[in-house]
Amino acid sequence: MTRHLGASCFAALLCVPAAVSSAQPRSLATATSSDIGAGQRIFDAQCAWCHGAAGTGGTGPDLHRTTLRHAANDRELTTIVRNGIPGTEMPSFAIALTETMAWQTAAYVRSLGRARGRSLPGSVEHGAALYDANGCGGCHILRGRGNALGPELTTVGALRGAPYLRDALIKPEAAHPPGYLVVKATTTAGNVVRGIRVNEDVFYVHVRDARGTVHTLEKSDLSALDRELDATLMPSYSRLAATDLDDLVAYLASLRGGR
Amino acid sequence: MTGSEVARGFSRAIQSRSAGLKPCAICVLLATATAASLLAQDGQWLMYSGSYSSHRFSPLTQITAANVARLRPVWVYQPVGVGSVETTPVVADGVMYTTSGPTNVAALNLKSGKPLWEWSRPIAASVLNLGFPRVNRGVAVLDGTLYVGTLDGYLVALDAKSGAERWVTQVGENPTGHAITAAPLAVEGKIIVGISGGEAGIRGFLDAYDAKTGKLVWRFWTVPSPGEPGSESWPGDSWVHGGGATWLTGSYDPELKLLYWGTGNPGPDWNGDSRKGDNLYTSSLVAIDIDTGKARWHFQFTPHDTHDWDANQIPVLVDADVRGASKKLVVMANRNGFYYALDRRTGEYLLGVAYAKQTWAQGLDAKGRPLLIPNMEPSEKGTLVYPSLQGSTNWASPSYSPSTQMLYVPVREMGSIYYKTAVEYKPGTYYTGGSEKRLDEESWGAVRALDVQTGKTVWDFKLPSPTWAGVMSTAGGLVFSGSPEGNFFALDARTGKPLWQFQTGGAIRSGPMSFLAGGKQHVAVAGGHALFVFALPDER
Repeated sequence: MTRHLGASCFAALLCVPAAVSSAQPRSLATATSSDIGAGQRIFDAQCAWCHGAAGTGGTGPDLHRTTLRHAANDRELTTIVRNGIPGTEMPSFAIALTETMAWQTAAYVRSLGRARGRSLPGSVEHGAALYDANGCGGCHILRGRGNALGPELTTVGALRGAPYLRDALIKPEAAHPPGYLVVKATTTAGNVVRGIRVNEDVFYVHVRDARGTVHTLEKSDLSALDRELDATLMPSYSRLAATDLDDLVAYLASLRGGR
Repeated sequence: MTGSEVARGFSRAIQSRSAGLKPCAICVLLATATAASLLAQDGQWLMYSGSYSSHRFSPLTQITAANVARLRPVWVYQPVGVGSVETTPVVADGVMYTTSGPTNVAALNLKSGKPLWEWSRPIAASVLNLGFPRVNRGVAVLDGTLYVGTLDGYLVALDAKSGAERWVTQVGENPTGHAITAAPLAVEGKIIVGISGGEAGIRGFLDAYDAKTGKLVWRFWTVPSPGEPGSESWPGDSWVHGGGATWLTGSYDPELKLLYWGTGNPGPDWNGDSRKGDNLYTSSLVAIDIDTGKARWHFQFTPHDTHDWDANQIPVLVDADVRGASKKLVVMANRNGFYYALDRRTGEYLLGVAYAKQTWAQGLDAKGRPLLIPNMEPSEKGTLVYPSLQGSTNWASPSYSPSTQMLYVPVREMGSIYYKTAVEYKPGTYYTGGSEKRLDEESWGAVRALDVQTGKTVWDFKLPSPTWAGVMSTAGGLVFSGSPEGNFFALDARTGKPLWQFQTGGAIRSGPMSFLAGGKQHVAVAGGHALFVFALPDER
């Protein structure tokens, strides 16, 4: 889908398999406070959009970790800052950042890993019970079980930060992920189909409704096709008690794909 | 002389090895043509934009609104290599010459779609393409020879019959980011070729090479050196890496003997601190004397650009009335969101009007200079501006129909948050000083028909996302274009009503063209990694 493509293609005309210098980068441990400060300024401008201010997580993961899934060492971390992670939402910043800037940003990210992350309040076990009790599996797949109306959650704790997960529960309309645009199609006969846009081209749109049924609609049969940019099919769980929300967030954050 | 005579002359000239014609015969033929757009009249498609006027208009009339619904694919060619095919094929003397990335050329039989020969230049993975995909957008053809630019910065002449290399000449050095993706233009015995590298801090230029020998005839630098006119618009040594790439194909007026070529953004792209001034002749249109290589005039659309709104879009040569007076125009739907009409003899600004959503200028002054809205520059914290970095339109070709007097523009309606970062020049790396975050989900695209005399929208055919597909109009009253979602479609040229579509299965990032084969009109377009050719079914 367009959204997915957009998320993985960054800047200009291009999806560039950007080259990284073969020169061995200096160890991030040698970064000075000045380097880390420069990296923080870059991070705040370029990275906080997804990773949250101070790297506490958002649509991108929390970076307050000593080990990062895709970056086993300093070189890999610097490479990821500059070139992104193909096949994920992490875009390339090769156009925006020089090697030095990427290295400084990586040094800042490494400093976040050394800083003690806030441990999440809440009970993972009780969160798991709430997940089942609230029927989340009716719309989400988790370790192969559930339905596919919403995003799969098997690794959501590795992909998203806790602040985003909390927002997604309380005000999900502000947090719908790429690929889950809600559209409302009105046929010339007056029927309305509302749901997730599975696919759209110039002449057809495929819409998955709340029951999971996919409708193939020919645009020539539609009187309107509205994109609801701020809408979601996900209900709000703001009615949950604050401690239950903490538990559910803690459970979701624990879903990192481990067996 | 009629257009078809010109075209036949051109056609014969292409075969001149056997026919004995000399290149100067072509010069005469072309110089005396009153409307180079008629070159395609005998069913050929001899250059990237279809004609020197760059109308991308086919005079063929067999496919019409009445029968286009029956159009169907007749063959598909899948070239070697990977990646999207962004070419416009040419058809000359009964053979199609098409290209694919990084630098492959094929000669195809028009009936079977099978290759007569294929040529590839070895392109190592280390060859740089800073700021654009590893693509090739087409060849020039002249005197039995094809001319192709290579990703690693060379111009190669190939024998049209065999694909054998006749000569190879270096245009730019790839380790410093120079590359060629654009189709060259064959003009009066010269091969005009532009250069890519505007994100790598090159100093842009446009070259003319002798078609027979490959020897450089002239070079026009798009960024003047100290002491030359325009150099006062560059402080210090900022001109050295000033950008102004020439990465798409231009146009030519044989009567005025002027080339019209768009120039790219200044470098660094989004951080203009080191280059305060207008930064001539970046983001401009330059009219260059074909004999001398000197600029006769220039017009800068976006002075001191900081949004990567280069002006490499195809300049379209049109004869039309503006404000009641008959004019020889060059018109351009610019990446910055404005449509411009200039007097192509003098460069005089005649008309400018926004044709897409833009939030950076209140309008244009009496000379066409933008009246800036404050605080729309990229910033460290990000600045939301329309259009996005990719512009209201980009390299995808527009089309002009003399029948409707409309310019059909592939439009991108999208905003971006523009960031500015520190920047340092290091050879062979990005020299941009910023980035963007695009507003993907709310974006959309269109094929938009503009009244060429006023720039006003006559009709708008909406697309689900911003388009990279070129447009072709035809004397059959049709407009062909495509979508990133793979649709190739035909619209009614007067109303924009959709009449036919075919799902190619891959994003269309190429320009449609049309030709005659066996007396029948065909239409070709690349979608994804394949080239599709369509025709009406045989009458039974």
